[in-house]
Amino acid sequence: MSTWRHEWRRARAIAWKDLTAERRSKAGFNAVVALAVTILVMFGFALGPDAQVIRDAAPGAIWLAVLFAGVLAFNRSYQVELDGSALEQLILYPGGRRSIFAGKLLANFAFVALMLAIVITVGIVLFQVRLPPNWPALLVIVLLGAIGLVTLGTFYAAMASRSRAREVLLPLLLFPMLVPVLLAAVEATKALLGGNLMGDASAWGRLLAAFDVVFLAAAFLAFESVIEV
Amino acid sequence: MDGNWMFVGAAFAATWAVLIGYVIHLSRSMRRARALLEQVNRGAGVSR
Amino acid sequence: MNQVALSAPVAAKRVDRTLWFGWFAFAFLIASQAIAIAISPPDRDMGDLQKIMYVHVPSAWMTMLAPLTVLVFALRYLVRGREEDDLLAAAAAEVAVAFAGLTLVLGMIWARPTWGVWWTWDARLTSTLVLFMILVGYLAVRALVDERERRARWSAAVGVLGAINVPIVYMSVRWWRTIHQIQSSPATVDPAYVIGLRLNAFAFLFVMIYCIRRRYDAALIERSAERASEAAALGDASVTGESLNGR
Repeated sequence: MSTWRHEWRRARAIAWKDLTAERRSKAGFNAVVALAVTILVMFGFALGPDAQVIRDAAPGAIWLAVLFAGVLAFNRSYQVELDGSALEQLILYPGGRRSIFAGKLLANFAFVALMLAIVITVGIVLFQVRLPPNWPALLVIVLLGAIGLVTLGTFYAAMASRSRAREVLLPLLLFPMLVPVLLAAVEATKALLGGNLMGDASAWGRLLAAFDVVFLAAAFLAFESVIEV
Repeated sequence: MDGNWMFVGAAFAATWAVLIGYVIHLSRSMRRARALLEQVNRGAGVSR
Repeated sequence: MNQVALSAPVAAKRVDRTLWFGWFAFAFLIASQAIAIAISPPDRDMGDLQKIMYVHVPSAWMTMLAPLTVLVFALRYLVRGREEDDLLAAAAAEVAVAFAGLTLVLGMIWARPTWGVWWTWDARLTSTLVLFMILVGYLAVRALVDERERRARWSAAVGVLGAINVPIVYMSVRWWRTIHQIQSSPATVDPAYVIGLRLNAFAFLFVMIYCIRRRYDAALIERSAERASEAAALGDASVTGESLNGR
């Protein structure tokens, strides 16, 4: 059991390293968020100005904006490691690869969660979204969606960031895999914003949670084959 | 219902187009692979 | 790493057999299509459109079978690390892309006269599209990664996760449509058509097996050449690429 604690500690250390590297390059986070907001605005132009139309489109537009901007964030999370020596050492520990993956997951999750908070706020304003009384449920859905997005994004970026056409390869690999998560997140959000008349939100929410579990497990198992120094 | 024959025809045409197309791709792969082997046996080495 | 062994006479024989099987498969396909079209009466509702079923349904079935093959051999590669499994998975993925593309086109050709639109977001068509995209991603990994072992491991990981995702996508899209109260398209096969369908299904299966096999053979030859070239570069003159009496 103590090995688990070691792994957890290592994971936290990696996450902290990633995040502080991030903070020192504050430009990174700001730029990615700026991109997400820009995308959101472009959606507004492309779909508007009819209030009802963009209100209906809001959940989709918000998730897509985060998705597109997230691609940049995931690739960059692996560029933090240009000094390979730390990573090489880590891989030698049993369960070292898992710690690396867990650490990056945590760092990316923090990044995406913060980005989502900002993008959703902007989206509510721009797309004239009316928040329902049970809006805390929205937070649950958003967190679950973020978990799915970050899990798959972190996994595929491990490969894409080290290949030749990383900006193209990551979306190519990631987006088809995100279809179930995207569908569930958007539909649950739509249901909640529409007052959840038919209880769809909890059904989609549970589906989303199930997806998260499946993809987390698969990603952890497969990460062994994928992480390279 | 005559127009429907166009769609049936298109379906079969598409099927054979894809199949023949892939067979052509196969023969090209084979030829390329064999050429590579010839090159190596002649001692020229393989450049990838 | 494990060697891909290819002794000349055995390999030549196998390529021969593959070619014979290929001819057989295509002849069988032509015969199956002819028989099916000849013996099937026009459907009550669909009329002559029903005949599209003889290419669309088998193609769709192969589109499910080929990725399954990729999954099996990708897993085998991850577990055992033998090159042949990686090459076979790659061959199956290439063939799978062709069948997925064909199924999509046939689905659209079917949809237009039946529902008046070229595309419907129904579960089967949509998950075929997502599968197509996943396979394109797999091939992109193979094209963009040059280092052999890394390419094998990465494409295996992509293949396994991609294959797992396909039923999940299918289920999600199905539910997505029922939530929005769109009727799903029922698919019942009138017993009158079963024979023709079965014949064509087997025909497609044979053709697919031939394609994967042939693609795999080409990959083996390429690999054999690479190995010989590497050995030559290392100064080991005793290893030569075995030629397969140029057919």
